[in-house]
Amino acid sequence: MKKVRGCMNEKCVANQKKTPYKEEDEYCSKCGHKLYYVCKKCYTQLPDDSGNFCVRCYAEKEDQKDRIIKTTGGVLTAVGFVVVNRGKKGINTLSKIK
Amino acid sequence: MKRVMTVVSGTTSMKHELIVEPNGKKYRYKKVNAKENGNVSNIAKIKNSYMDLTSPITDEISTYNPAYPTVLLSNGLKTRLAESQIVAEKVYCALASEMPMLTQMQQSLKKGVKYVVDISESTSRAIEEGKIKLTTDKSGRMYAQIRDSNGQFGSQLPIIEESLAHLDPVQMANSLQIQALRGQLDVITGQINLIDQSVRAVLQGQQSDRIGLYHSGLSLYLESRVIVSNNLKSTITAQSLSALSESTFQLAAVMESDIEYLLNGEYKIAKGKNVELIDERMQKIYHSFAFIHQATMLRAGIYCNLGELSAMSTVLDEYSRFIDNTVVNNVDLLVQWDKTDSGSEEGVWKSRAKLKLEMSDLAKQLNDPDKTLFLGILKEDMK
Ligand SMILES: [Zn+2]
Ligand SMILES: [Zn+2]
Repeated sequence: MKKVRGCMNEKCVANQKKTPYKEEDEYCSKCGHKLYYVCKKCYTQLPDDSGNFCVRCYAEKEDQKDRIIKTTGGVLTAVGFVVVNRGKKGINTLSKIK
Repeated sequence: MKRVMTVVSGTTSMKHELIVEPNGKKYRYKKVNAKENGNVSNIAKIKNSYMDLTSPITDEISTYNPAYPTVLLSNGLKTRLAESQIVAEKVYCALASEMPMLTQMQQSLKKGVKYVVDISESTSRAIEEGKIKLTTDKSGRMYAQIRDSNGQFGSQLPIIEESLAHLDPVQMANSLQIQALRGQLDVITGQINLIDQSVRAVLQGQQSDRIGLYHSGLSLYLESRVIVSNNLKSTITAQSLSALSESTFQLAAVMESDIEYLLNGEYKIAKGKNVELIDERMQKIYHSFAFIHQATMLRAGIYCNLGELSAMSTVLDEYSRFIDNTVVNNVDLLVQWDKTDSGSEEGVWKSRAKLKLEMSDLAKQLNDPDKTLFLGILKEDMK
C-alpha cells in the first residue's frame, strides 16, 4: 500500500475535503502549497519516515481486529488468528498477556 | 521643514515630536500615534486574546476567570512598558540637554510656541550620520556615545547626575532594558496567546487533587495583595510562588510519565481498547499542560508586578525548556495521539512547540548586565 500526501493549508479546499494526493505529488493542485505525508484515514500530517496511518488510527485498526476476534470465536481460535495474521508482533503481544 | 525625532529602541521605534513651549518647561514631547504612521504591530490580533501589549491596561478580572493569570502578566508587562516609556523619554530629554548640538538647537527655539524642531542643515546631518548610544554600567551610571561616520563609537560621555537626579538608577536601567526588549516581548506575548487559546477550553470546570497546589498558590497571592505589613506580605508572596513552582513541578512529572506511557505503547496491552486508552492519556496531558501554563503565567505575572523582570524571564525560560523537553521532542507523536490536531503548523502541538527560541533569547538579554539603548534621530518631512 502506498503512502498518501495531503495539503496542510487550512484555507484550501483540498485540505477541507481531505483530498489525498499521490506520494509522487509535491504541490497541491488547488492552492500550490507544499504537500506533506498524511494519515490515510484521518489526514493528520505525518513525519516522512512513518507508515500509512497515524498512531491513533493504527491503534483503532488493531482495536477492530481484536473486537472481531472476540466476537467470532473462543480463546483458542483467537490465538491462532493472531499468530497467523500478525506474525512476530502477535507473538510478542501474547507473551505480554501471559 | 519640520523634523521629527525618533527614539529607536530595539526593534520598535517610538516617535516623538519635540515641541518647545515658553511655559517654564524647556520642551515637551508629543507621542505620535504609531497607527497614523502606518506602523502597525505585525503580531496578528487574535480573537478573545488576553495577552496583547498594544491595548490599554484592562480592569482586573475575576480571580475565578481562567484568564486571570494571563491578564495579570499582560497588565504587568503593560505597566512596566508604560513606566519605561516615561523613563526613556526623561532620559532622552536629559540627553538632549547634555548634547552641545542639541542645546544649540534649543537655544534657537526659545521663542517658539508649539512648533516642531527645525534643525540647521549641518547639525541635522551630524545627527543623522551618528547614532547616539546610551549605556548604563552595573551601578546604573549612564553614558552616552556618539557613533562617528566610520561606525565607531566615540568616548563615553557621562551624563550629569543632576539632569537625571529624579530617576532611580535601578529603575532607569530596568526601563532601558524593557524598552530594548519591546520587540521580543511582542513576539513572546503573541506566542503565549496561541497557547493560551487552546489551554483555556480545557480549564473550564476542572477539579482534581493535582491542581490543589495551583489553587493554593493563587489564593495565597490574592491574600498577599491585601496584607498591609510588608514582612507578612513578602512571606505570603514567597509561599504563593513556591506553591506555584511546586505545582508546576508535579504536573510536569505527571505529564512526562503520561507521554512515556504512550511512547512505550503501554496501551497495547488492553485488547480492543487501545484508542480509548490513548484518548484518556491525551486528556490527562491536556489537563496537566493547561495547569502548567496557568501556574507559569501566574508566577511570571507576580514577578513582573513586583518589578522582578529577571525572575520573570527565568520563569518563562524554564517554561521554554520544559516545552523543549516534553513538547518539541515528541511533537510528531503528540500530533498523532491527539484526535483533534491536524498536525499542521497552526495545530495545537506545533504552535506550542514554537514557544521555544524567542523565550530563551529574552532571558539571555534580560540577564545581560550591559544595557544599551540606541537613540537615533531621523529626518522626516512632515506634510
Ligand atoms: Zn491546497
Ligand atoms: Zn490517522
